[in-house]
Amino acid sequence: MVGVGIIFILANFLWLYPFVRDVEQGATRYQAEVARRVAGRADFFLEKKLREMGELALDVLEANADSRKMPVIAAKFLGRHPDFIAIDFVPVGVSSAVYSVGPVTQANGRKTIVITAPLPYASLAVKATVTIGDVVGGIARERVGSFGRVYVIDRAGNVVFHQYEGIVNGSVAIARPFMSVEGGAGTYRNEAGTDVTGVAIFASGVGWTVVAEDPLSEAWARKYQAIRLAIFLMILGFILLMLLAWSTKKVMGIAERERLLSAAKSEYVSLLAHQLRTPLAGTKWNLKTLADGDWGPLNAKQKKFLERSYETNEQMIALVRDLLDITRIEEGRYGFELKKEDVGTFLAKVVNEFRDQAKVAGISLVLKKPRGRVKVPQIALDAEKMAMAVGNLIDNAIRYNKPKGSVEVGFAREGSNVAITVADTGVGVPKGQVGQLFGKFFRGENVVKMQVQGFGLGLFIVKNIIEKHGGAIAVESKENEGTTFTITLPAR
Amino acid sequence: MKKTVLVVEDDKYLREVLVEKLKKDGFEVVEVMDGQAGLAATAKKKPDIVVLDIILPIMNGFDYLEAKGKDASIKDIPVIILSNLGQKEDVERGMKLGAKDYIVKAHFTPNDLIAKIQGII
Repeated sequence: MVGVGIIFILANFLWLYPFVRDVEQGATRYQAEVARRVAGRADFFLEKKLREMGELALDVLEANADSRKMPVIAAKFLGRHPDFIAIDFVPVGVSSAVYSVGPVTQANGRKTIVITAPLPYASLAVKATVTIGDVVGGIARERVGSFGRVYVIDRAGNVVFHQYEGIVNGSVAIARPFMSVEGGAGTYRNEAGTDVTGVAIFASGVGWTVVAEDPLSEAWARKYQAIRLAIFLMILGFILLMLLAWSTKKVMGIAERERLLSAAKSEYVSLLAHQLRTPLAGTKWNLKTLADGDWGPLNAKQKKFLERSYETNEQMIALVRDLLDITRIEEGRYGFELKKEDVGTFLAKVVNEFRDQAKVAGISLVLKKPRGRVKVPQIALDAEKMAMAVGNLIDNAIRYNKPKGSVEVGFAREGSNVAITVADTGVGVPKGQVGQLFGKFFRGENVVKMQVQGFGLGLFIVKNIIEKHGGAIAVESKENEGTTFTITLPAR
Repeated sequence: MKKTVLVVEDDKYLREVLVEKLKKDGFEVVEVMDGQAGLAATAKKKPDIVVLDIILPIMNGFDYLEAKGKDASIKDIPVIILSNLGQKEDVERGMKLGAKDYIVKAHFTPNDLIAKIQGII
């Protein structure tokens, strides 16, 4: 059980781990894409400015770098290119053959950079102050999810552009542990106090680092959902397992309890029955000798009432006997000794025992021989117990018959079985109660009206005895017309 | 001469009515309440027959039968078991130990018992 639980919980990780990794990598890929686009935009901007400055270089070449013409050239150039705010010509050493981009500065609400480019044919360099409003505007339109931001940091760590309001200030220095010329990615808490995942891409031309970041709550939303789902599944699985374990234990506990209870009940009933038998027997002997007139003559009324007491006591004794039988059946202590018997002879003996009872009740009791010449085989019987079973059926058939009714006992071979039937013309079993007939303590509604005494244990015992013989009992009944019980026993 | 019946029975209620009934029907009756006393009375009185209960104090009916069977002077005295135990195994055990008959108290009447006694002695 515990093993199944652990496997279930581990199985959750099988899908969760790759899923989470996929979400994280997906977020990083997406941020890198945005950052790379912004970096490309920045580098493209620089490239464009450098190309424009190339025009200026040609003008200077045409004018042979005449220092008097230079201000005019510069003014014309500035007129053509509004992004350029100022142009200065500065003397440089021969070795300075590459351009450089200075840090971002802010003046008059404008962000500018200074691009210094050498003029190869003169010992001069052009120092152009350029507004970066264009590129910033482009970056401002970039989006990282719904809550993410893009920002750009120059070499000095100053923020070139930041989508967070309040941090749009060139003087704020921002550093990320993963920032380098190779770029990088990581998670951290940003200046607004939000836990984010970010990617840095280095724009090599302009020398800026572009960072695209997104709050974890957005970037990893699917990851968190998946983790929540996994936790939910694990808890659910755990609860189900506990329930399963609990119910299994409970079911086992119930079965065990029922077994013990049943055993205790059987023992109790057995003890009770034995204890009841002693006083019942004493009462029986006292009443019998009294009623028989052993202790002196009785008048008619005395005799009548004593006999009535005796009968009642007899019923109690019968009940105790039935209870004891049932207890023994349920405890499995009802021993059976099967011996081959001739069915006809056996039934004749049983039927004969009820002749007197039938005569007194005015019921005709017949044992019918099987028709034809088919020989009924001997069957293995515990004669005492089978007599009890068949006798019980005959007793009921007489007891619950109609005046001048009949009881017919028959037997016949049926394939490899022998069928014994007890048919009566009695009150029958009410429709709908036939199914309960063989249950413990069952008595038909119509029968209860006829005779108050009786405990409904007889047929339960009968069925048990027959089943112990490997046989079966069936019943067909019509209320007010009669009942036929058929016992089928294997002829082994 | 009157025949003597030894009644070994601890239930006073039943014993009294049985003893009275036996006396009324012309028997000499000796009554005891446990197996050990029964054994002593059997040896001393040499009854013609013993009516023996099984569930008894001190020594039960089966043990009484076993002890009696070992005593040559009394082993031939017939015994009818009169018990509340009615299971097949109880009956078989009693008969095996030498009882002549086995009567379940609740299922027989005093007259049945007397008929059986008369049948034996």
